[in-house]
Amino acid sequence: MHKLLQRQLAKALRRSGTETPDMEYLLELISTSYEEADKERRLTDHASKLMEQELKTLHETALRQTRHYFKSVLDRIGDAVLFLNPDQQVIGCNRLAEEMLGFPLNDLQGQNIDQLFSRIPNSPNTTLTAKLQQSRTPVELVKSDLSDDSHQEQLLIFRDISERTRAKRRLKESEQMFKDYAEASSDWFWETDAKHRISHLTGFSQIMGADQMQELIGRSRMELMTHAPKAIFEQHIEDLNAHRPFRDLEYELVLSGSRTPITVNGKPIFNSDGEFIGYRGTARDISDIRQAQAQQQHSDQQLRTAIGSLKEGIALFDINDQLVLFNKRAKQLYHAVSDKIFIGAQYADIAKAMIDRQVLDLEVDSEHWLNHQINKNTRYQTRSKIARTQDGRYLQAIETPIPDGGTIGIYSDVTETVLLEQSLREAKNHAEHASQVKSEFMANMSHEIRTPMNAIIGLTYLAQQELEQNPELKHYLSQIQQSSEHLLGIINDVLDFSKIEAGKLLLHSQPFKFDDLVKQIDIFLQGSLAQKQIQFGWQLADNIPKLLNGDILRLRQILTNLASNAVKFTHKGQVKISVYCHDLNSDQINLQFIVQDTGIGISEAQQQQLFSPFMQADRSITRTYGGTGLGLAISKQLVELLGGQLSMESEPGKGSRFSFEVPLNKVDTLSITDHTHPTLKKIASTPETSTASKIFSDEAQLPMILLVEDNNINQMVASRFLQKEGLHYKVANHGAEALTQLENNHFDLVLMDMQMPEMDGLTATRKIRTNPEWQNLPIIAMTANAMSEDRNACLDAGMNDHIAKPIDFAELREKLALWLTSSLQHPK
Amino acid sequence: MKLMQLLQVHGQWTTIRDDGLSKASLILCFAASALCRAGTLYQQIRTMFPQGDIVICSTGGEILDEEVFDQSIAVTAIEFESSQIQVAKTDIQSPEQSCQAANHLASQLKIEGLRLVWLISDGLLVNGSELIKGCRQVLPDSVLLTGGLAGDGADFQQTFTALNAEPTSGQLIAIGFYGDHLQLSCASYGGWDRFGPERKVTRSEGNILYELDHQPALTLYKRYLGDEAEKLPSSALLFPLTIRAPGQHESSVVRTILAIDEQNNSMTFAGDLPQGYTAQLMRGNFDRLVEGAANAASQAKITGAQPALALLVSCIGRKLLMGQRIADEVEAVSETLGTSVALTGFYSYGEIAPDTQSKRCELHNQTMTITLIGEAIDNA
Repeated sequence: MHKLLQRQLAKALRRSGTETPDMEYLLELISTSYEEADKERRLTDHASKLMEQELKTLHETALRQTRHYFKSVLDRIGDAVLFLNPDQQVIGCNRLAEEMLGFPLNDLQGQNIDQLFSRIPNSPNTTLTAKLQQSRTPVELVKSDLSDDSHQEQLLIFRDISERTRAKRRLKESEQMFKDYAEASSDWFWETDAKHRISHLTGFSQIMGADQMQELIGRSRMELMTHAPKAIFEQHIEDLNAHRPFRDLEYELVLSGSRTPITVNGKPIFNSDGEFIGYRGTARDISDIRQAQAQQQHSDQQLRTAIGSLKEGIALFDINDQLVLFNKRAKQLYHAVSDKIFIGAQYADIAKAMIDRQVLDLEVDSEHWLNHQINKNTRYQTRSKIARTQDGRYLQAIETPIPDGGTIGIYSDVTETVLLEQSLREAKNHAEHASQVKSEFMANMSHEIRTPMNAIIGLTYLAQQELEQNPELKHYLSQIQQSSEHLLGIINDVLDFSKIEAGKLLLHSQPFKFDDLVKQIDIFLQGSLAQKQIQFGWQLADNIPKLLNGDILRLRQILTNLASNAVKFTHKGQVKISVYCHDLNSDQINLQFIVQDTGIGISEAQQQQLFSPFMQADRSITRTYGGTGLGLAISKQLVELLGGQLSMESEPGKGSRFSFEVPLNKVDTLSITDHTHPTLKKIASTPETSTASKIFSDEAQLPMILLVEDNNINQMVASRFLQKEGLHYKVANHGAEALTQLENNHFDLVLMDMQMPEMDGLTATRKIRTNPEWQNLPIIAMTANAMSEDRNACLDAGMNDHIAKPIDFAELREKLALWLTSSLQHPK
Repeated sequence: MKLMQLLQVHGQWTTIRDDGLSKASLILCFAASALCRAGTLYQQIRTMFPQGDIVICSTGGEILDEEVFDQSIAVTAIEFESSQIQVAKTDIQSPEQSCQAANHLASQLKIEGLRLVWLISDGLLVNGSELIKGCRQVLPDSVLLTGGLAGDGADFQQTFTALNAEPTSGQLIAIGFYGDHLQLSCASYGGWDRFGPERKVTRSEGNILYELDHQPALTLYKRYLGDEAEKLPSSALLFPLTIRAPGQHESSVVRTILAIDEQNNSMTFAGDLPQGYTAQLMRGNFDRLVEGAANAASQAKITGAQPALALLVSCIGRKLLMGQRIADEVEAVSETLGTSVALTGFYSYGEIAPDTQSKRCELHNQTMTITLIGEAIDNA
């Protein structure tokens, strides 16, 4: 019984525990063993297949690699290779073969080599040359046999020999070329024997004549050179005795009494045993060259003479920066380095000597100067250089590149010119400085003049209030007031002008309503128009935007000046202001203003000077019409500041027409609230204007004002005004006092002067604003610093408003009403 | 040396051999892991043998006499004439501790007079190579080191060992044999044939193999296993992997798979697979495997020791391949060693024995490893 079956039976017996095996278990064991055998067979089959596959893949990889190596080697060798079958047809090739034959392998396969080469070797291992049928490239080819027992194959190796063929041709060509050159560079060929006697001449007779040739044959070189300078003669004899070749031997050939300068080259010749047998060489007639040289020398000399007599120093450096030409003057100018100035001297050496000997009084670092000069890339950047010498002269150097790469330098002594320039510049600076000082003085005058003017106008106003019952005195006072206001107008003009002159007038753009501009001018002109029988009107284009951004103050100033002039000089007829609008782009427009009158007009001569400051059309006009003569000059400057040009046309007796055009920015309605009154942002809402005769009538609620003012008279003027308005107030003499007062009392508003001793108004305001309790306390600047930048300074420091001195009491009253309403509505 | 051998199959105990022991000093018990898990095995054996050290080991198949059993308990009690034993155990939680734990285990044994250490280890929580390294750090070269890794049938889930206690996982147990009269020999033989192309270990970490020739090793195995891939990791034993150091052509070892990791596409083996080593798949042929076992037996054969005990540690891979015909190899060993030699042992997850060529102790896989223990008859 099979061993396995025996064991299975034993197990079944053991399982039953009796003499009879557990048959079911036995069958199960047997069945399992079959399954095991099956599984084993399956696995073995599967594994064998896989292994076979893997090994096959490996084999293929190895084969591919071998092929790849073979192909790489074939493709890298310098010869083209074709594999042939026994029928002499191509079956394979390397890359070089494809390239040389001009076909890819696909096209080559199957072709008979007869079709590819002009001829082919009959037997293996014999080399022959042939041509490729396609390109006619000469090749060398050899065939060898690759056949073995199993298959027959042949190898055809060929290589390009066109280079070799070309080399042969080049050799031939170069021989011909040499012959051509020799003929071109000389007039004739000659030969001498071992004793240096002329034995052969080729080409000589065509140039010098047949007779002369006969005269020459048989004569020795020594005989021919009798006229040559001794040194040249001896040197030549030495060369000949030593059998050395010689070049450019120049001497005069004397034949039939005439002399011909010639140049000769020669080379010794030896026979095959090495014995010297003579010389062979070329010769050339150089009469023409000699003549040209003489002419050249002559003109060179002329040039030198001319340069030598120049007042300027001249130096010419070649492309290598070597001095090739200079004149005496150059040496004189730079006498401290004259020993360095010679033909052949290097530019750099001369420059260096100038530094070493401190010839120049340089403003720059000497190292830097030297590098700048030596380097040709930087040298010409400063075309004209003026430098002071240590001995007090000024030398100008103009160094310019010349086309052949060299440098031409022209040097001159400019001491006188420089000194003259210096004195002129000093004079100009002096004058400019004086003018500046004047302008500044004028601007500063503003404050000093305004302070007393404030007092005059203020006191006049107060006096008028007191004198209701004395009409005569009241009239005098009204005259004083008018005169004061006139005087103030003149002062403003003068100060504006000096500001423009001093370059201190700045523009302040802000959004404004065009209608406001028109209204303001209407109001301004009301007074003067009332006294005249003339018509005044506007002609406004439809397309003028309602809102614009620009310096309305200056625009108004120009227009009021032009309009009031027009009114002033017009006695009958009309004054008209026309405004036109031209779009510049989406954001900008040009506004054109034309002020036209039917007045007295201006003569052509007067027109010339019209815009000059201090000038009026006629002295007599000043007497008749008054005015500073600054108005038009200011207007003209202001128009220019605004970016326009003021122009005029006029005819005496018929009238004048002034026009200008200025660019302005459009404003979209949304942004205007943010720009119109920056100060208002500090107060929660815009207060309403009061028009009551007294600002406050309710006694119980009378507000408390703090007046901060150092000038006694102005204190008095302001105090009286406040008293008359029925307002309570306290006075502080300067900023520090104001702060103390504010600590101790409650105030509803502060009137603040700017220039004060101890602490000025701006500082005081800033300090006030640091206290959170006083954030909303209205502070109004009341100051003789009347310029617009002063106003801005006040607002920046934290003040709410600004009134210029001399104080316009109507304006003050209005502002008090405005800010007090606000303050009381919004208690701190 | 007197022996007593008992077998329990289907819940019935059968006495296979009884030399009439007066006092057993060592009781070896090989049992299916399911029976180890029951928790009463030690108690049962102790009842039968109140004295002596009881060593229990779970298996992939139990060997007793000349047969191979499954789901059985194979007990062999030994009483020495003049030799002594000393036993030791230590715990191990993970393969990284292998070297250190083995070192600790061997250190517990008295070195003087020590001839043989038979090592029983948890079959899954160890790196066998490191285990041997740890023991060798302590043991003198003269001491023979053999043994095996416990098994868990074809399941690779949990293995058990025990020393005088109920079996648990994560234990190393060493039995030290002492005595001048001890006659020892051992041999290990595989009988597998290499097949297919040679491959290079291109990515591995310790005993975890990722790539062979830059291809995932697991994918290769799955391809070769075909339908049997479902039974991974055990089915991988049908194609053992032999590895050898670069430039080494003579000496090679076979590695048994312990686990696979589908997520990392990796395989965990019972011993190291160093990068750069050459690897080749192997395939068994029934006759060649049986011949291999017989070969091992003839190499281990000792003349003159009567009676003797052969401890067989054979690889679970051989059993998985041969199925019911696995008993052929035990029979071949028995025939070679002769009837006077009693056999016991188990199918393991790794065999510990000196390499036939280098004589250095190695972890083997897929081999039949035989340790023959006899006592020379005392002339006195």
